[in-house]
Amino acid sequence: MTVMAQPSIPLPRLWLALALIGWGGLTNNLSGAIVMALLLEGISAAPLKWALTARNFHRAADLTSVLFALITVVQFSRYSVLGIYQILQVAPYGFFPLVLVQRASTAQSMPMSALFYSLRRQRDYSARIDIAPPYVCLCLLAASSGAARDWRYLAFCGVLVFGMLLAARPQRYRWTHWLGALTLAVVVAGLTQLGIERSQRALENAVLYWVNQFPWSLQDPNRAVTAIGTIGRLKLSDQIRLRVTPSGDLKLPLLLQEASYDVFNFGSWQAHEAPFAALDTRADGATWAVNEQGPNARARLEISVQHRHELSLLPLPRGTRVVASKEIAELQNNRFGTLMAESPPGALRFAVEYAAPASVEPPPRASDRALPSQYESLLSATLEEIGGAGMPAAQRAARIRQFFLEHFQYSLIQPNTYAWRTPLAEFLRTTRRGHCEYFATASVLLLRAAGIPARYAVGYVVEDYSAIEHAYIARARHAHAWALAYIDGAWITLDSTPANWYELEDQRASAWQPVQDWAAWLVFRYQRLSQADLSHWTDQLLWLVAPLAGLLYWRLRRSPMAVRTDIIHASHSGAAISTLLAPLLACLAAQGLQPAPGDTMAKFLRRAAPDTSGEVTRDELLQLYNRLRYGRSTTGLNAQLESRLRDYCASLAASQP
Amino acid sequence: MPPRLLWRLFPHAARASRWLEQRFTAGGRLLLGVLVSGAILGIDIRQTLAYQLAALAFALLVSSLALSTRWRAQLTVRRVLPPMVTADLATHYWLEITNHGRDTQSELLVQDMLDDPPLSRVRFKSWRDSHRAVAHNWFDRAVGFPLWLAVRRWQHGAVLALTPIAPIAPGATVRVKIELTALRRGWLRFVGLRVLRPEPLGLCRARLNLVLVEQLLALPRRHRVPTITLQSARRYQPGGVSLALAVGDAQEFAALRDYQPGDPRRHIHWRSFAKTGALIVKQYQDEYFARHALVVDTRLADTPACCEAVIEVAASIASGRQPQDAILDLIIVGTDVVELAAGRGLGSELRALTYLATTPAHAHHDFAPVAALLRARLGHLASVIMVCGRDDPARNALLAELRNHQVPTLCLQVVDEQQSAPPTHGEHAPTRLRIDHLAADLACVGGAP
Repeated sequence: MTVMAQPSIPLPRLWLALALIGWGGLTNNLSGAIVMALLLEGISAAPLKWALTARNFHRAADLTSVLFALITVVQFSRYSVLGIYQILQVAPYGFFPLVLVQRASTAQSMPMSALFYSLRRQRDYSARIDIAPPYVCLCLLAASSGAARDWRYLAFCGVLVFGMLLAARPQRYRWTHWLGALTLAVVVAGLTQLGIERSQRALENAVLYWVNQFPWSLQDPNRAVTAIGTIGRLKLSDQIRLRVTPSGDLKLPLLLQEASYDVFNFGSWQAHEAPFAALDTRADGATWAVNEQGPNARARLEISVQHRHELSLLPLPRGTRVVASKEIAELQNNRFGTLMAESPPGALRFAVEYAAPASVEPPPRASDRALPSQYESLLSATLEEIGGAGMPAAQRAARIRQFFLEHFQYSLIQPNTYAWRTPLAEFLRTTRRGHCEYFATASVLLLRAAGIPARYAVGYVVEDYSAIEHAYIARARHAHAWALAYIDGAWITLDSTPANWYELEDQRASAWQPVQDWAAWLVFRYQRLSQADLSHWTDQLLWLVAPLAGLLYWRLRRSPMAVRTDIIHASHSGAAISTLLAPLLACLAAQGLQPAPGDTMAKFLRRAAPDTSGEVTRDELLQLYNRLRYGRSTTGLNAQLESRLRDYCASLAASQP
Repeated sequence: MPPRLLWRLFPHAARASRWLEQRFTAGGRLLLGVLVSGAILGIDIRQTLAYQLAALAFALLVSSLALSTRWRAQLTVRRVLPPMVTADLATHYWLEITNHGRDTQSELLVQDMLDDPPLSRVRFKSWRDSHRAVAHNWFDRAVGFPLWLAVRRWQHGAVLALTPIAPIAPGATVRVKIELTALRRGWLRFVGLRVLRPEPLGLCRARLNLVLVEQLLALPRRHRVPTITLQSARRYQPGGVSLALAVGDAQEFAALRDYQPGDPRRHIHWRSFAKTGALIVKQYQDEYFARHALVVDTRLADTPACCEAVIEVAASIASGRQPQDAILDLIIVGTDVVELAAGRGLGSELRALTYLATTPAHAHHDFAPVAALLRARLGHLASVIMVCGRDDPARNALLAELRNHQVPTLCLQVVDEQQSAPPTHGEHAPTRLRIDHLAADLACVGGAP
């Protein structure tokens, strides 16, 4: 196959080092970047280079792939989807071996087959690429993830890009033309950037509004958007969200509350005036006393929860007293008792001590009694239907719950659309079918209409036991909503959703659920392992770096492929051609055989190299070399010569004492 | 076959790829990659600042494109082509470019362009079926785009690279050497060329299209064939050597001898009679040559590549060494007949090669006319060499008939090992030439059939 040679992009001297140091400085990887820059520029300046074959480049590319895969797995397990930005940030580390190998090679470029595995089987494909310019661009992209939002990143991009443009400047134009074109580009860049920022903000607002319509969006401590009024079937996944290991017997079902809210408006619940404040830890730095009042804690749970962000809400049983975890950096709470933890994304494990059944919490405020004006008449009519006026609060609440259990059905399907903002009214009046958010919202509003302060709470119901994990689990579809009623000085849980909702949800479980559970368990185990403290191991391993680096240098120095570039350039003309037989010249040089002044390659080899080494003859090598140098059609010859030369040198090296 | 939608996308993808290659320099393409990566990664401007890099790349590329939209250079180009080339053999030709403008033109590139004939789905399917086993990766096998590109390259006839032009002073002419390796036999039709000039930032190129229609014949690829000696009777050649191509009964002059009664008077050598006073006549000798026919039967070739291999074998034989008294008298391809009488310095093998280079490879034609043509010439033919594809009853019948008439035959069967049936054995079994080992197998051909 005839393939065009890939034209290389001129790169100013020290540009790779500059790109690496800029990236390191912007992303807090400066020490690593300086080491890499020194290695790259040091090896470029050194007179010793290695006549690497395509196979060597393939191995280097494979190493890079493995390194990159490891980085990907680690970052994804730590940061989930957002790991892509972390991968981007450390990508220069991953691709560094490939650039280093290219810089150490005599060719200063690598075969395309190193980057594309499928090309390795095409023996006649001989295109090469210089990956230094793409690596500079990679550094630019990597620096974008983690750089501070100030002028430095743009300046870094400008310097590197304009420097590369300057090096590749067409000489047919005057300087003024080039500067004029550059000025035009800078103006367009400024306008584009401004446009992007504005468009992005507008787009974000639109997308966020759309995403927030779904109940499975990430839980917001200050706002919970319900799916009340959403048409069609609501479907949450089988993904395991929680793992609960009790220290003793566990009373099921267990409600784990993430957050509670007090103000209802247009389908969403909000936490009114509930700022978060940091909690003080105990002396060990990993235990927080959430609530000092009330009876002492009697039960203990260990909970693992999957979360994607650094800040996450903790699902907790009612009456939580103490939270303990080494993985939580900071714990905050609000007046509703919602706990927000700061920890690395992934699997968070914490222990909870709690005292059932009730806790002592601040008394209700006016917002816990407020009713939306548009529902007042409807709620009064419904309360009349329920009856029980004048009863004590506890009995009245029980009647309301009983009313829902007797006259309503659980359903995830909402087939009809209703007039603007009336689905809750339709639920109470006509359909009497809905999911837990309908029941919880309606319960809270009815309780308030009956004079009982109430709140809307969200969280998970734990009822399943996983034999694989030896723990109780809650899946995404077990997310639940219920009401909290303030009765006799305590906030009581009032779950008015028909009890069969859990079975109905389980009936819709995927047939692949056992397989998914196994996979989830494996991922979870891996995450736990990756989050374990292995720093003492890494400290020990650091001692190995110096001797291993020394051993590597010693082996490379003695490699038959090591060639002094000044010898090559003095012996032959034409850099690309001169390196063709470099491994053989290096082999012979190791034996003290050097070409005499005036020697042609053929004359020298006939004098110094054996007729046959292994299965390859010297004349065969010379013939290939001559065809490459002087022949018209050189397609595929390079790879052929490389292969034969490798065999010849290997046999020659093996035959030496 | 790729789905119809994909099939429709193939030409667009190829055009886009060509556009990117010609319109952008290497630096421009790298910046385009940065733009795409930055746009994807910077979609969330709160997570990364990649959008700033993307904006910079976008601005540079847009400015470069804007600066490279128009270019009116006063250039004329003349193509200096060789008389003909041979497929798969590297050669070159020249472009003479003259600058009629007032400014020196430097850092230019030139891209010569070949005709771009359409490719039908049916033709692609036959290629794809024949190349399925050698498809390089799953993408090639599943989608077929790389193979589609390969077939297109084959249809174009050659891959012509972007070539730099030395600076051209006003009024000066420079010669640019263009490397050329024909990928197939037949006419390579040049339709024009494109001269490219970088813009000030060096990221994009302005294009100047010039129409320059010419064509160049690529002869079939040929392999070394040993002298084929068929045990054949020699046949009378009317007109002898010098007039082997002429019409009539002229004979070859052998010697002078005394007049014998009954000799025709027009054979009397009057000059000798004037010198000696005795009647001397010119004695002529009848010529007998071994007259071979070369039948090229491209029917039933397993694949298009096999079809081409049949032509290659025929070309190799037509241009190969003939025995001293042998001439290649006929070439029959499909239903076309060419009378050559090439050999012993007669005629020209070039005529045979030219014919074989331009003749279409008929995959479906009737064999009966070929058989009739051969039967009509049986009296003149010393032997028949047949190059063909798979086994065929009609052809076998003809070969048997030739053998019955004591006409020595050599049947060379070109086969694709992966597609054809196992070889048959027997006294009259054809000589199999494997498509992947054509040169090696042809080198072993020869001797008695």
